[in-house]
Amino acid sequence: MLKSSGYLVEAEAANAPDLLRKARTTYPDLVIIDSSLKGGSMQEIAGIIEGDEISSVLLLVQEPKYKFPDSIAQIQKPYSDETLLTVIEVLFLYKNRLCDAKQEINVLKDRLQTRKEIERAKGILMKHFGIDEAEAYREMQTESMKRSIPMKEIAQAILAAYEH
Amino acid sequence: MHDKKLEIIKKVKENDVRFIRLQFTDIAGVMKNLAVPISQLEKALDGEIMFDGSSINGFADISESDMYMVPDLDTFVIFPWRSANGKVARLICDIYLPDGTPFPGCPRNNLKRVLKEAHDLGYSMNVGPEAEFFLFLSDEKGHATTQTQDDAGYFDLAPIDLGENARRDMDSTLEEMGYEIEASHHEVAPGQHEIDFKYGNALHVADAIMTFKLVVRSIAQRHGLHASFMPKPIFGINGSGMHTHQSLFKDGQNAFYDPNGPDQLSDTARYYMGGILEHARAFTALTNPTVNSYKRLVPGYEAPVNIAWSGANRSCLVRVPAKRGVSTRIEVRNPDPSCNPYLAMAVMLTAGLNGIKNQIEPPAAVDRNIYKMEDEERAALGIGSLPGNLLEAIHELDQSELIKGALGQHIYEKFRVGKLEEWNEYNMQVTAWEVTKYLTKF
Repeated sequence: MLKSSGYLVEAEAANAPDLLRKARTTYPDLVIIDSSLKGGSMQEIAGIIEGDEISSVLLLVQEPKYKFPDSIAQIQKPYSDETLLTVIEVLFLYKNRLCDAKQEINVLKDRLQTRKEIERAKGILMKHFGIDEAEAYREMQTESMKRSIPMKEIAQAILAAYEH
Repeated sequence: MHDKKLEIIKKVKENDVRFIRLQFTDIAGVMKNLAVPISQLEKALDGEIMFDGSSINGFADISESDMYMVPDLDTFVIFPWRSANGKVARLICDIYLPDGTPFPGCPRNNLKRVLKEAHDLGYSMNVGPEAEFFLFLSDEKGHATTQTQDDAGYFDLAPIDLGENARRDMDSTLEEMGYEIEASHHEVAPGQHEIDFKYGNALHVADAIMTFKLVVRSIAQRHGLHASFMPKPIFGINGSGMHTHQSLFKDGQNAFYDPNGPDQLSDTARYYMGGILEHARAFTALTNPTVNSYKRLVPGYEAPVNIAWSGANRSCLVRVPAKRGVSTRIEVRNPDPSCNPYLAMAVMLTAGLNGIKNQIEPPAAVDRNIYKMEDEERAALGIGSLPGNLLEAIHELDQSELIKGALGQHIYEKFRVGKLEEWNEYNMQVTAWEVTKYLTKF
């Protein structure tokens, strides 16, 4: 049913340890766990897969009695094929949005770090050579262009040389 | 001391830790945990948490049951992996009696006592362990099997080595916890791995070995695998050992190094080694404490059987690696990872110190393959062998006042009782081998 809706089913697991092994081998986009899973607790396995960022998890539960600290997606049984497909679609939609947001965050984190390093490096140059901020920046920029090395690395080199 | 307490309380709050595990190792080398909720944190830090010592098999008698767990605040660490119960932290504890004295049955207290004896002579002990283990597949019940990935068809899905992946996860987890890994690699047998720790102070390293086992087991489980430190799980392939590199430092210098000594080893190094070789039969019960340990100590699988030393020869009990200077050390090759590291180090240190005290010269190095020698040749060279089984090892221990003293009366007695029980239970088993061999023959 899943295959006919366009999804590629990478693997099926017989039990909890097998599930963990297969998930870590194939790194799928989604892992669906039924409450009848043997060999481990559904909560624990879901926690591991989401916690170690192997995949997203969808649980098929008997009753919604489980409380999950990081809110893992669940559908209550019985459910129709339409419900399952719709939920999967929504999961993928939000997963993609989340991935994009995470990527943007990482880029911003990087930029912030670089900016901090450049500020510190500028401060060092200003102190050691008695120059002003604009001139310190120009010096670094000149070196960066001359050597074809990014500003970030110039800053790191200055920090390494003067701070240790 | 107070600052450390405050820092721990702060870290616990910042990281949303829900439970603290108070840990200690019992005489059999098994780590015990007492999980304490955060509401009890201050009480735990002040060493006021009590437990019933007699509830742990072979630890204390019913008459000496009330014990206190006194944490070593330097061992505080938060486990990096997430579980369904949020984050968990731990503190390794020493066990104390209600009258405030250290419980003599606590292996960690005992090691500290022996280290103090060394300290009074001016020495500190450094240890570098090389622990091997197997990663097996867990079955549908989550239990261990002796099956490795090779025959389970995972390579059909993707060319990934599950064990390799798990081991890398273990490396990064251990490093995140502040441990320094010197090496981490696949070992000879299928499914076998090894992680080597950086050389360090004996007590820290003993703590590190116990922590390492816990981390390895936990991470393996998260990978759908089961980690085993059993010395010889499968007949016919290599077993798992824990070669233990060790040296003594004095006044901040490596006391084993003498640039002018023969092979650049000091008298201290030679005498220490002499002590190890002299008392090896007596301390083997502690370095190889299970019935199964002796299945590993057989010729042909890179494990030592004979009491000799060499620079390169891997069939010897003691090997002296080539590095000198601050890295000068000897490698004792018989311990296996089923041992209690606190007890194993206490007995090896005691043997070594005795060698120094009595200036025991080791016999000449044996650079040929001892496995291949005839018995007469071994006898002529004075090469003895290690005990052949646990019972023999216990009898050797019984005869050594020195090694018994290294354990203290309480631990020696409890250890002995436990091991004889184990031996008797083993001895009574009728094995598959016996049935196959004798059932139709007689």
